Amino acid sequence: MQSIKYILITLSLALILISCGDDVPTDYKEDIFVEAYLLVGEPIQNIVVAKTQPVTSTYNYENSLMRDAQVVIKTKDKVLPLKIASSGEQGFYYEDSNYLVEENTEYTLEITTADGKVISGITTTPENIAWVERIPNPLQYPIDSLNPPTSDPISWTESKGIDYYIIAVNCLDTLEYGTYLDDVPDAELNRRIERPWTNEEDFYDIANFGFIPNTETKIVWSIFKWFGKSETVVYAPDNNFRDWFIQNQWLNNSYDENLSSVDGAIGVFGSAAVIRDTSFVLKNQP
Amino acid sequence: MLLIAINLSANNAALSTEFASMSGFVYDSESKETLIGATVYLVGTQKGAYTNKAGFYSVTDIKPGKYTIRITYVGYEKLEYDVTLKKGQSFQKEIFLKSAIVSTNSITVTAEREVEKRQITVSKVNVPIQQIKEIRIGGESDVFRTLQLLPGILTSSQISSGLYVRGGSPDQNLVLLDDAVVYNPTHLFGFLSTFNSDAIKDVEMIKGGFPAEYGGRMSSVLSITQNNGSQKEVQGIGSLGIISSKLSLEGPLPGDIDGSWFLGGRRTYFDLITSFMAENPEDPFPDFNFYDLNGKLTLNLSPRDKLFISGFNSADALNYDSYGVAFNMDVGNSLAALKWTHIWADNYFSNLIVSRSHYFNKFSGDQTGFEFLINNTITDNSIKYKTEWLASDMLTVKAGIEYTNFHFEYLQDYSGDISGDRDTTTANVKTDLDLDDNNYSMYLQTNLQTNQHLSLQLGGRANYWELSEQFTFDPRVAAKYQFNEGFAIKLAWGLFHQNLRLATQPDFSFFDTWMPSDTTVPGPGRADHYILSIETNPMEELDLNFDFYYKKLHNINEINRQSLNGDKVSDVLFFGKGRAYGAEVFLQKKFGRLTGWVGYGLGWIYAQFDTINGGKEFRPKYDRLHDLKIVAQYKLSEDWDVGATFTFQTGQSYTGATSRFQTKLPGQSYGVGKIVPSQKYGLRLPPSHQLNVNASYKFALFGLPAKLILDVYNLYNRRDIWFRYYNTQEEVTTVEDVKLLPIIPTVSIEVKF
Repeated sequence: MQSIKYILITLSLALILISCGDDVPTDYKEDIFVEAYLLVGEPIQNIVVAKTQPVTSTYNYENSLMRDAQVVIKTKDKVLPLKIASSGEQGFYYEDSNYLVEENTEYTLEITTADGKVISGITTTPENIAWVERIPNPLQYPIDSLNPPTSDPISWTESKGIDYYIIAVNCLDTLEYGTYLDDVPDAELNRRIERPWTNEEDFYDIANFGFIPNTETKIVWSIFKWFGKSETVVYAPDNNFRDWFIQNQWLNNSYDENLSSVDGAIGVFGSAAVIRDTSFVLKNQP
Repeated sequence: MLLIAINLSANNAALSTEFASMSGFVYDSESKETLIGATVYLVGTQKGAYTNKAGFYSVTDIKPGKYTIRITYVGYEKLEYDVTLKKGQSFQKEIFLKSAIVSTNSITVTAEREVEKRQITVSKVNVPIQQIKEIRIGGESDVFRTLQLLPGILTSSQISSGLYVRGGSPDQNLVLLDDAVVYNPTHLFGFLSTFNSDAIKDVEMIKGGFPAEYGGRMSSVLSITQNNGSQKEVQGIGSLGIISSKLSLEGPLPGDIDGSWFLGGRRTYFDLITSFMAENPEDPFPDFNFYDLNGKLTLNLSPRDKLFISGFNSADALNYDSYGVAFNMDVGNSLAALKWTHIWADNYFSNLIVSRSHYFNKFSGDQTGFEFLINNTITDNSIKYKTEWLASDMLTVKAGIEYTNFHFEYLQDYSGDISGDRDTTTANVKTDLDLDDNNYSMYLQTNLQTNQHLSLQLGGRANYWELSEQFTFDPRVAAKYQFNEGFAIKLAWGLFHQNLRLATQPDFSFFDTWMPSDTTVPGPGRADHYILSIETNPMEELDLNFDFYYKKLHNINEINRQSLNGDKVSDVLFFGKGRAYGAEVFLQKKFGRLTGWVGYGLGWIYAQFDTINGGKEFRPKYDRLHDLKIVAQYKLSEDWDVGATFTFQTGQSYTGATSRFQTKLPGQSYGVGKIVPSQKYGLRLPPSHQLNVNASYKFALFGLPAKLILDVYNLYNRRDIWFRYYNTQEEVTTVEDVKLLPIIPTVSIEVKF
């Protein structure tokens, strides 16, 4: 038994020595990231070509942009060279803002970086959609049972070949709403719409998203973050946009290569038909 | 036809023998419960047998003469009696063993090693149920938790009861309860198994190279037998614990009916406790509860016929409702099995098993009027006929046929209206599948002892799967060379096909979805096992075994988390391959005041999928190079028992990052930070280790035998890391660790009546 005891002690010490964990790596490997969306009926804008940044440094979106890249978008009969401002967080854009993205059209993205690397992607824009039932204006939250919204659910026309639709609510007024009410502190916090399990980071972004396989939906109150003026947008995304939406919203924060749609880089070149509407979310005061 | 031939041969052989034979059942003398794995041994000969799962033993080809029969079983007093056997005699003997307080009889060990040379059980471990009951984690004794303390059986984390056996995932384990398959036997979303240890009398684990009588899985077999119940008197046991409370009752059937019954139940009471607590109506506690029920009816129809009717039901429920967000999560198992054991002759018997097993999980919710629903089920209706012919001392033949009808239902409805009244749901996006599959199997297995040293086991299993139109054949071969009583070498090789697939997450078993292989998948999963096992007895009362294994995995699957909807299995799964190899050392002491084991596993696991990690090979999250486990129970006195378990493992794998970026959808002002991953699971967390201790004290409570159990989980408060992640919510990326449970002392009480 004595020998077994010694064997066990030796084995345990050996295991402790050889089983140490790895340090968190600090090595940086630069990749190129592309984020490009074409919205039907809107100008070509904010085509982002950026370098990834080390996880050990503070992320700076503006500095990540590769302003020296050559970016063009092509259709069957047009070549649209893009430009980028010398500063700011906006990406490349087509100078002629009268040119609007067309539906049912194939677009090709071609990027040539300063060191000659070529990145490309293809998207075919979906068919246009239109409102059938718009979002009521104003909206009252919590719902006033004595004065329910006039239009519930909202709905829109189907875009051929599109299974899933993205609904976005962009808050247009995170600061001013308190001025519309009596006896309400003007702190921004008071204008937030509470929901379970929210934390501070959820309010970093003014946009919130939903994703449904449907052309109509009831108004999901938890999609609104703030009371006040909001823009509701419905996207009919192509597969590239849809996959990147999953990358952005659903999965954990680790990039998934299977959802990328550009060659030569990581990222997306997608498109969507889009409809927009504005409304005012009214706080139902006691 | 094969079964009929065996049947005729068996009866002819039994009648024409020049030798004597003996057979019968071995029982607990108090409860009249049959004992599985008891040794019946003819002293001074090489003859003997183990009792099978029905408690039945059979020894054939005995030369006429006087013998001393010795019967031994772990935790029971040795029994010996003399018998004179005559030529052609078929001697039937029912044997009753008395429970022993402490068994220290070394002869027991010797006897165990000498019998059943025909049997070759590579990588098989029987953990005595008493030991399972004493090993407690967080106050709960648990079968899966105990099995995780064996070398070669890994887990994805300390809070998961999933069994990763030699590189195989939990869905590759065939889990049988009274010979019927159980599909997702976990509570608390994977923390505990659904098997109440008070309702179990035998646990058998085969970690690889299992014989042809088992099929349909690639990795291992876990066979659990429920208590039959006392045939003597009505008795019970109740316990109060921190997680749950249990009550079991058992007794003989009424009147002149020869048989017994058992009924056991367990329920957690978190929901009952929280109902008495003040809560903020805007931030309520979620309601959670689980329960399980076990029942068994045993009918001794005749000395040669036993009928077992088993039932099992378990359910977990989690409900929440606040701020217009409501959801309900329900998961459950139900099982009913009927087993008829018929002894055709002293050396030939059969089992007919008819069973129905059902597993479901359901997740429904309502977000201020927007409804969604996920509902997955698998239902298994099986009929099996198994025979075993102990043809001679040298030869055993097993054969069987099986038929299973599987019914799968998948419903995933995110349309916003689960009533289905609307006509605006776009085409093909609401997954609503009802699938049926039929499986036909048959097997033949022979165990042959060629001489005093060499035994062979040859078997084959044929399967036909209707949905995928796949025919598979699994050859299984094993050999044992017994150099002397204390040293044997075993070899095993086999192919193991698996048609069923499981879409699951490693740490959270709630959304487990079972599905068949259809014609769109590359073929059924398959594992090739190569095992070398060395069994030694270096000292009295000690077994020291070495296992070396290599396992090749074909057509394994991982869930495709990007899949939104689909009507084919290939839409929701990725397919790849893998390999696992390693070595295990297992030193076990089953007898005496001190019992337990030391197990060490050294293993490597690799997986490769074209769509994961850029197609490069990676080591899965549950891969652990080193795996040391120590289990010890010590009987201090008649009243006091103490025990401890210690585990030390290489740290879990995790994925690092090479850089990050910020993605912004149209309209997003801040966006979402993403890391670019490095080699998948290419890094290691610090080693994982934990010490749990327990003590129990027997006393009388209102005149009833009672036991006070003290249990300390994670004694030195080692907060192992559950998972490590990069927090990219801010502009400064931070690496954060989510830690596992701290020290948790618990007290529970158990009363017998």
